[in-house]
Amino acid sequence: MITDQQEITTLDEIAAPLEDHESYFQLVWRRFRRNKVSIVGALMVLTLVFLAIFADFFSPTPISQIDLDNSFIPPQQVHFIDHEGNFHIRPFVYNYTYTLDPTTFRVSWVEDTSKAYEIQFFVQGSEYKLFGLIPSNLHLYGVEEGGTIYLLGTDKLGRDLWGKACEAGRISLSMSLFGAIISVVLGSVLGVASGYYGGWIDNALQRFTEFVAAFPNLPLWMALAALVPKTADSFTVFVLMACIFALLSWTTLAREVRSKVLSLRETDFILAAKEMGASDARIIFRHLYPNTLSHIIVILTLTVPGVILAESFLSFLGIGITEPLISWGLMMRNTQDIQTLGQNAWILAPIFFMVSAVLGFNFLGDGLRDAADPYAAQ
Amino acid sequence: MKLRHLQLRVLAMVVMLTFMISVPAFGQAEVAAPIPYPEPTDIGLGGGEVNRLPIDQIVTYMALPEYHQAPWLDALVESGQLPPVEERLPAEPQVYLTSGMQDGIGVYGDVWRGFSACPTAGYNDMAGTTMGWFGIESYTSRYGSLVKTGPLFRADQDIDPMPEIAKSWEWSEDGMQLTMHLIEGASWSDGMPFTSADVMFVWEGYILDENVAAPRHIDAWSWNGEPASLVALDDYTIQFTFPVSRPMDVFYLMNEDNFHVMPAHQLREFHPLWSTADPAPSYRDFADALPPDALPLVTMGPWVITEYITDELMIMRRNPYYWKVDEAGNQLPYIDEIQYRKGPSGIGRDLCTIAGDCDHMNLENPSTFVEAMTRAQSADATYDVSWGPETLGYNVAFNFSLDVGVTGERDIAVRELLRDLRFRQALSYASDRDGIAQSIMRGPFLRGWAGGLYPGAPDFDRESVVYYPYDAPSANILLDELGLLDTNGDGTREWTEGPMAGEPVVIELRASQDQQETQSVAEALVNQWGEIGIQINMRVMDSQTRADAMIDGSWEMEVQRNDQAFALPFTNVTNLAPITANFRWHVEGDQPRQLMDFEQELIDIVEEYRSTFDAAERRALMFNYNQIFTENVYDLGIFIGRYGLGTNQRFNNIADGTPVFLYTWVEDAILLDTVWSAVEDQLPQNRPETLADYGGE
Amino acid sequence: MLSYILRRVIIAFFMLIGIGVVSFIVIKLPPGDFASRYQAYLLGRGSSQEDAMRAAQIVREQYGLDQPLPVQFYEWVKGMVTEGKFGYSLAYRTDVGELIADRLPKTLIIAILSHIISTVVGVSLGIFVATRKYGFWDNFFAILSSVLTSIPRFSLAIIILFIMVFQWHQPSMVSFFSPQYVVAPWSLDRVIDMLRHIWPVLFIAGLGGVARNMRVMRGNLLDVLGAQYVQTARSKGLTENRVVVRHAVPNALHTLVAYQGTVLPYMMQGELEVAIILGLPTLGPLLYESLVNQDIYISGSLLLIYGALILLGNLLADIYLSILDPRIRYS
Repeated sequence: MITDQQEITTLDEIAAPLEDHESYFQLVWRRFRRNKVSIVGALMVLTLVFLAIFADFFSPTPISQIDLDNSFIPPQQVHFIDHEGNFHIRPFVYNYTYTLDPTTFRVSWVEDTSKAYEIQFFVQGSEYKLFGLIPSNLHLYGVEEGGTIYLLGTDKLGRDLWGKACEAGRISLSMSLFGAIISVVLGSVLGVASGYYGGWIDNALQRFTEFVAAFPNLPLWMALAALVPKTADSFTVFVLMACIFALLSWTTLAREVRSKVLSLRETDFILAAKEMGASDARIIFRHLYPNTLSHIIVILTLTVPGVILAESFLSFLGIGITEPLISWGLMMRNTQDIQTLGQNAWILAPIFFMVSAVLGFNFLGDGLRDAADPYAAQ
Repeated sequence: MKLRHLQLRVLAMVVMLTFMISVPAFGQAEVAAPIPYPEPTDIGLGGGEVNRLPIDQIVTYMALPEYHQAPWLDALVESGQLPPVEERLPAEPQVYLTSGMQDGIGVYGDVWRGFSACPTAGYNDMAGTTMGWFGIESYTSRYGSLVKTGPLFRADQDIDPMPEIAKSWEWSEDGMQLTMHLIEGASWSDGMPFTSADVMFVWEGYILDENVAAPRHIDAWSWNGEPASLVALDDYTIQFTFPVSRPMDVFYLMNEDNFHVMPAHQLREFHPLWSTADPAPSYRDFADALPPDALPLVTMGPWVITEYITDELMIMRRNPYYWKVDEAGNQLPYIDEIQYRKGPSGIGRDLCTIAGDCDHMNLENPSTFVEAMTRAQSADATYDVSWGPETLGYNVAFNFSLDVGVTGERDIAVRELLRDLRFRQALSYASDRDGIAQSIMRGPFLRGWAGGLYPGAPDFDRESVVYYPYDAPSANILLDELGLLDTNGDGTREWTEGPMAGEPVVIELRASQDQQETQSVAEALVNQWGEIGIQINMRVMDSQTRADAMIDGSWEMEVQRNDQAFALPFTNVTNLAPITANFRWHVEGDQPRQLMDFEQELIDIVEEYRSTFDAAERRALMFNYNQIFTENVYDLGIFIGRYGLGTNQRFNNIADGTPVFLYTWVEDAILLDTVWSAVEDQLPQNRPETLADYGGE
Repeated sequence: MLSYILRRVIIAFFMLIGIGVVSFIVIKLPPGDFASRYQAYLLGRGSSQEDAMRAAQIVREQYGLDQPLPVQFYEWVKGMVTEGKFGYSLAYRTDVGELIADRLPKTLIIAILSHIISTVVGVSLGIFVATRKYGFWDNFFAILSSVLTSIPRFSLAIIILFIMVFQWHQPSMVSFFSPQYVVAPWSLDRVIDMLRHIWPVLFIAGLGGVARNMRVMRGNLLDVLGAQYVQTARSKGLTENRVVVRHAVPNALHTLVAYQGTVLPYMMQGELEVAIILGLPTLGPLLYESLVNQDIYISGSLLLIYGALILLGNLLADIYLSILDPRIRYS
């Protein structure tokens, strides 16, 4: 019998040269830094996260307040030169006024050049609570009382599309991250188990994976949408959705982790650990996991955009997030009425946020993959 | 009788005035008083006034000295494939009088291009099998109804319907019997004669037979639990016997929605009651007796469905046996062909019409109006839009049942809130109706609405409306009074007493997947009611899930587009008050339902209305009804607008002011068989100069 | 080898049954049934609540919707096994098999066309950029394909529809053909008319494939170009073009070929979002509509078919790979 004490010392000795994590991650970081595209991707993601967290600060108007008088205002142009041709060092906007066509009720917006509203930075404005805790009234920019500044225009409830799109990132990003993490946990556990144990366990898990992958998602969503209890608030729906995303998207990862484990299983250090009588749990958590971790992180990054896109499609079908919560998909839903879109083309703006997020995560994931793979061409 | 109503009305006004003056006094001088409902602003649009005429100036039955047919039918008559037009027409065909035609007698030819967004399930539509709606039924089988009510918007009264295959009728002395005379010598589209046997087939095989999903069954034909009966006196005469004298709504039971003839010679053999087949067909077989490919259709209508390519295209050709003519003896219809494109959603129809590829659209979603109007005004526009009265109303309905769909303390607490007038008033005060209307469409086209009767309803009286203004402080006072307080400072009010004490007030609000505007309204209300501390869970549901919730009673509040009973109460009186067990806002379950006091008043008014013929008295009753309704916020009206009708410019004889949805949907009101276009405007047909081929003939 | 394939087929068969059961349960999860949909429709047409409810109840009884779930499932499976019928569509009142057979050719046209486009364009682009590694065009196409594939498909469809309706004033966008060509026999004009209607779907559904094929082809080609035998070919004095076309490309195509099996189901589902918006009579919108309408046998059959295609694709890919690479164990 080998005591636990003995086992640890011996194993540590064997594993020591391989577990030089520090240098490995340093290596990854060095290679990652050299990849300009992935740096851009990382910056895009960070920017969106930053905008989402501090949405109240970036939005000149209170983000959760509707203003029905100001529905569907087109993006306001930032001017340096006023209507008389004078140059101003400080940029400004004109308010919009509208005229109504008497026969078609078509709204035409014109700038009211009688008063220019200079854009001020770091202004005191409406109250909000940072992180839901710290009261503040500081806003990045704004104009004085009486003016409006809607850089991307407003939606049908008269909310600033810019502020709303920043805020929508909270749901879209957190849901996709949350969903992706659960998915990765599930996928890696099943993948490792499948690859490590082999035999009938592997077989059963493989078929199960295939089964889940072969099952179309749409009916599940529609069932979910009809089954949510009426007292469940939007947040519960949010959590439920994230979980279902996870439950449906772990399969690719499970397969990839499995093949990684399969190749590791035959390596000397695992065989050695087995020889030494290490428990399965120990081998899995001390040896297999760390060695597949980089791979898992890459998959995590690449799962996120998939969830963002899926969420947007569900919102489009009307079975996703609902007011008062807001996601990019829900904002895009407003564009589905082609005739409303014809009148107010600017409501497409949130698409730039969504595309940036998807693109950012993809770039980041690609960069990480190249960096994490020691055999990749330099 | 009459005097009593006058008194009632005076009393009602006094009550209202007192109410308006006194509320500020005992409402702690803080809850805002109701305000007068504003006059509508003139929108300066609309397709012109409806030219209202007596029915006998629109349509009659008489023999004419000569008859004409579409020119290309001549060759078929000559070759013997078709009898001459005189022989195909009844002795006294129905004649559309020129006095009732907007643009007069027309010319033959052209194709009407429709769009349907509903699968075609088959052609036994009286047995609950849909032909695809969007006018497919209307332009074929529905022309075989006993009487027609759709075009009544053009008549100078609405007690008497338009005659259809029943060309005239008379009541017995005591009003218990109604004898109807059918058109004589008319033929089905396959050339077989039409007789009263076809009417009796529908009566016995559909309306009396509970296993057939007919639109109205015998229980709808019952008064005080006693059913009506029908006998055929001869081939062209039928006689109804009623348990009461001259039931007022009876003609609406025999209109195009509810009673049109089916070809007995074709369908009898499929009906389980008469079939001689072995094994006998089931009722399901009967409902599916005419599947989508059982073509051509046998119909009394002006067009015959001849081809159908599933989910792509349906083609109808003229019925050479159609039994109507114009005053010059031209056999109708003028239009040779109808084509229907199929698509998954009704938006397809709008886009198709705007692009000039379809000939008709109904404008039902206000957020799309501006685009449709803008395109209609452009130089190369192909269609015109005309607007009906203010009958497009969106409201919030409340579930008042205390037991149906209730599963726990919370549900009971919510229902009790909904039943509390102060709560409904609070929601009313908290709703910025005009703001919501403006956010959907700027300008005077849409405006706030209190609920109840539509402002465009003939019986609507502005004075009857109790209109609570947008005033959030009033809402807060009322909620405080109710004991709903935000005790923990999270912005949402909590119950402070009862079993739910300490729990936040969270209520579900449903919106419809396929009605865009209900979602816009709900989204605005989520935010506005959130401001007064009521947390709203918004759910977007497709119509089926909603209908289901209506049955099991699990819904709480719902944004909906209200129905036409609130424009023309007599078309569906049971939708106005909880008379039947299934009244949608207050369903009766196993327990007898606990009516609120004002609900009983509404029932009494509606019951009286049902048996009132005098127009002025009916108006007085509706004044009372609407006042009690709006004062108690029975439903919460949000905004009111108009339906718009878009039709291609090349067509004539589409009457000015044709409403999209009044007595029926527009397809039944438009009289498409009289519509025509000038030769130079006509479009090529898919199957020119062909007729339905029934084989054998 | 043979026993391996046999085993996989048997397992696939049982999985298919599993998919059938699970789909059926999931489809039936939402409350209500087709009859309640019908009732909603009647209400919308102005029927009274009472009448609509009764009419729905009759439909429910006639079509066995009031039967317990296992009974309905059993009937469905029995029909499939004994009569080869996929059940009965309540909305269309017809055999589901016919309905699917009706739409299958159109779906396949779109799937195959977009697959051809994505393969031809993707592979060509892949070769093009691989021979210009890190050049302007390499970066250009890399960025373009990433951006285009980052836009949700339904948004792309809406934007295309928007441009066609509001900018180009294109008539009859929402269908497969213009009406005059629906009943016309096949002709060049008809093909052109069809392409005029379906190009947005081809474009959007093909886009993902183009991007993927381009990346894979580029990667493979770069690997191969670095391999020894290619170096040998070069040293023999062959022109670079010839090296690429003759030696490198055929070898780089291997993996693409291996995954052909998995492409079909992907392509068939890929059209879903776009076809819903453009209203094309293909299988995707039919599935969606049937789920909305609770037309359970259509949904069930389509899910089963999709499932079968995916399983088949995986099986083919596995078999192909195991033939190519003997190291893979048949376990």
